[in-house]
Formats: sequence, structure tokens, C-alpha cells
Amino acid sequence: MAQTQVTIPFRESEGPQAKHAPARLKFYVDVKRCIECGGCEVACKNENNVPEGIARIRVVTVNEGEAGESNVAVPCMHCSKAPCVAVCPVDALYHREDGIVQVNKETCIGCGYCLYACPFGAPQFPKSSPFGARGVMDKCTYCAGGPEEPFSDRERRLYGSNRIAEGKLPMCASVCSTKALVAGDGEEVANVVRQRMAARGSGGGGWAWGTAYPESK
Amino acid sequence: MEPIILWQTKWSYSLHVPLYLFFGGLTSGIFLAAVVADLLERKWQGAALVSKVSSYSAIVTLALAGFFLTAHLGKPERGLAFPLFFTNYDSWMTRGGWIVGAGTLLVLLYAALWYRGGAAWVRRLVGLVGLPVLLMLAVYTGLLLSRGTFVPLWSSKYLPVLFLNSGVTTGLAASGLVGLVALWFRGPQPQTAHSVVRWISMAVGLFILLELFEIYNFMTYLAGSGQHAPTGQFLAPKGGAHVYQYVTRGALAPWFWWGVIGLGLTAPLLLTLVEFLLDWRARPLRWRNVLFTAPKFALVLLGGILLRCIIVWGGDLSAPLDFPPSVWPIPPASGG
Repeated sequence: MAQTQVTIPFRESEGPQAKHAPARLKFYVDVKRCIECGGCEVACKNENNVPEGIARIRVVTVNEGEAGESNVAVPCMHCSKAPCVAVCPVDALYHREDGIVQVNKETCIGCGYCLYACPFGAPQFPKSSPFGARGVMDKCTYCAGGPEEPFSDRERRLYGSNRIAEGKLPMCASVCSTKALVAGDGEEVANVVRQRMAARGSGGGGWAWGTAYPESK
Repeated sequence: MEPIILWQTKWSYSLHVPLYLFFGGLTSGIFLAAVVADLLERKWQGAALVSKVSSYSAIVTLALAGFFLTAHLGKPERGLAFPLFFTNYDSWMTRGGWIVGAGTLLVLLYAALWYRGGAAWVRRLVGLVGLPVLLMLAVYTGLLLSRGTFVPLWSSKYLPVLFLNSGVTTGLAASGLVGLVALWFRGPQPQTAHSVVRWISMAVGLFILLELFEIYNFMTYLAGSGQHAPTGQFLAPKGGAHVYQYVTRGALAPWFWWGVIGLGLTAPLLLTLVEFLLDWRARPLRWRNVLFTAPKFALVLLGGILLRCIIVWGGDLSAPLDFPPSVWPIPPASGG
């Protein structure tokens, strides 16, 4: 089996000065490995205390019951040129230095524009009123908390855990039993993907990579 | 391949967004009717009255648009303070916020000038200055949706024009309706006073034909090419075809065929034919307007609401995921 562990959230290959330079963190979703166990969904909910009705990651089945049926875990892909960031009127969505797309819940107006701009349906909104959805947007944080002080109660309550600050990977990728969901520095992730493809001798099953990271050459 | 609805249904969960888009476009059309009637005041008796009541109506419809816009937000208080919070000028929502803001001031000013009386040229100047801003409001409602580039139905090519046309059609119908009511309550008027409503009705018929043509082109485009979202590597190679099925043969089909095409466009067109026939028989305009033109205007307004509902509801069908293994590329090493 090809190497599957990617545990380096920061680039260390560029000399001492670059040790603290942030990596470009990415997800890789391997549709040929996903077995639709739902472990990523449960782990995410548990780790981040995600409220009912919100799904920061979902396992979607495509072509169910037909030839070519596939499963794919869909988190926020933290796109390089994120459409949600482009349309957000209040700049509540922004890129961190490490490429993670973060939401500032103190600024979000809950308009829902990002939901329709996102190709993956990642933004989530609470539904608590018969007169419409109330509250601000919630989405996968890459287990990197929010703009609040790291490890503070407020960060924990609004955004969930901050595993990235602890030097850990997102919970969903950590618990994925088949390593269908790989997270980490883009270069490391791409190496894993290429190893898998070489082992398979054909197309790899990387889903939406070109959509999320289109400037990759 | 199958269509997948990945989205939560935030905008189609309630009627707020369709009604906001409807009242936004409606205000544009009403303002257009008010300014044109104002400019033609000397030529048509009754045009001044239609312009005046239309200018007041625009305040009401814009207020309703603002209400539904604000009410759909998760945090309405932040939306109300949009000059402070809206900082991303690349977003059409930010631009739209300012268009609505500027449009509100111009609509209020124009109505105030009608209310206070005074120099007509000042009022007309304000109307002409406000016209492009208000028409942009209708166009913007289409542009707002078309930034959802992975939603096949929200075409940047067709929606702005369609919403502009629909805004003008519904706005003219609303102006005609309030004009008709105003004329009625003024008691018996000379035949010429009612002729302004007659002309508005004819214009509505013309714009209905244009709208039907645009919808036909839009649906043909969706059914045929469907290449709306080529940016997604595995997304929506036939998204347009799926949403065409969804709108014309799927869950939205009754609303589309019976609502928009039937009640909203075809029935008013048939009533226009009846109007022509009655013209030929030279019936009194006053009663003809009440019996046929008023229901026609009401149907046009209903069609405008349903059109927005279908467009927004159809947005729930996102670009379908597709998995052609033969085209899966090897991700590059650089990581971007």
C-alpha cells in the first residue's frame, strides 16, 4: 500500500528561516478508497461540537445502484481561489496564510451568498425559525479554530477545536480508516496522490482537486 | 450521472429572497413608468395622475424589497448597517446594497417632488437621473444570482436581461393597476384619461412577448448546451440539461408551466387580444379597463413572483458531480 501518512502541517524543507512559514494546507479526497463508513462525519461532529442540522463534512454517494457508484467525503476544500471569499459582501471569509479559508462569525451577516457560490456546498446555516434561517454561517475550519485567541473558550464555542495550532491534522483525516481523506501540506498530499496513482497504474480518483486548487501547475 | 442536491435550502427555505428580487425589479419598472408618464404628461390626460401614484407606489415596493432583503439575513442588524459592514466591492451583494441605497434616496426624492408640487422640470430631471440607477436595480437582481457559478440555472448570460424585462413588465402592470384605481376613485373621467392605462397595457403586452422569447432562449440554452460550469473539473458537464429537466419536467414543472407560462404570460397575452377586439368594437375604455386590463395586470404580477420563485428554487440543484475515471488527472506536485 502506498504511503498514507501526512503529518507535516508546516514546511520544513526550506531551511531554518522557513520553519515557521506556513504550509499550504489542502485536502485530498480519494473516491476509490472511501467506504462510506461515516467516520469522518462523526469525528468532526464530536471534535467540534457541531450543532444539529450542520454538517461540516458529508459523505455523498454518486451513481447509487449503478455502474460506477462512488462515495466521496465532501468537506470545505479550502479552495485556493475560493468563490465564497470572492462573493462575501462583508469579508467574513478570508484566507489564512496557510491557505485555510476561515470564517469570522463576528462579521458574517448570514446572507447565504457563499452557500450558492461554493461548488461543494460547504457553508452551512442553522435553521431555527419558520420565518427563515437565522444565525451566521458555519463550515469546516480544517480544525484550525477561528480568528479568536487560540484555545480560548470563545474560540472553542464558536468554531470548535484548534488542532492545527497543536500541530495536528484535521480530525476527519486523522480518523479516516482507509485514508481516503488525506490532509496536510499540498506538496506532501500531492506526493501521496502520485504514489497511489503509480501503484494503481491508472487514473487516481482525486476528486475536485482542479476545482479547489486551479492555479496548481 | 445523476443530479445531486448538495445544498442546504437557505434561499428557498422561505419566500424572502424571491420576494426581494421581485419587489426590487418591480420598483424599477414602476419608476420607469412614472418617469415616462411624467415626460408625456402634456400629451396624455391622466398621465400625470399615473406618474404621481406610481411614484408613491415605488416607495411602498422598495420598502417591501428592503424588508424582505433584510429579513432573510441571519443577522439583519448587520445588514441594515451595510455601509459599515459591506467592504468587499467585488461582491454583487455589496454593489447591490449601494444600488438599493441610492435607489431609495432617488425614489423618495422623486415622490417628494410630486407631493410638494413646484417646478416640473426639477422633478423630471430627478426622474431621468434616477432611471439608470433604478433600472440597474433590476439588472443587479439577475447579476446577484449569476455569481453562483456552479448553479446551472443562474446564468449570467440570461438572468440579468430576463429580470430586467420582467421588472419592467411587472412595474408597468403595477403602475397601470394603481393608475386604474386612482382614476376609478376620481369618478367619471373623459375617455382620454383612461387611454394612458390603455397604452400601458399595450406596452405590457409587448414586454410579455419579449419575456416569452427570452425564456424560450434560456430554456433552449439549458436543454441544449448545458455547458454552464466548465470551471469544475468534475462538475456539471451537463448541469444545464439537468436543471432544464428539473424546471420543465421535474418538481418545478407545474409552477413553471401553469404559473409562469400559463397564468403569468399567456393569459395576459390572451387578455391583450381581447382588448384589441374590444377596441375594434369601440367599447368604453373605463369598463373595459376594469373588466379585462386590471385582471391582466394582476396576472402579470403573479407571474413575476412565480418566475423569481422558480429561479431561486431551481438554484437548489447544484452542478451535479460526475466521475469519468478516464479523465482523472494526476494532481501536480507543487501544491499551488
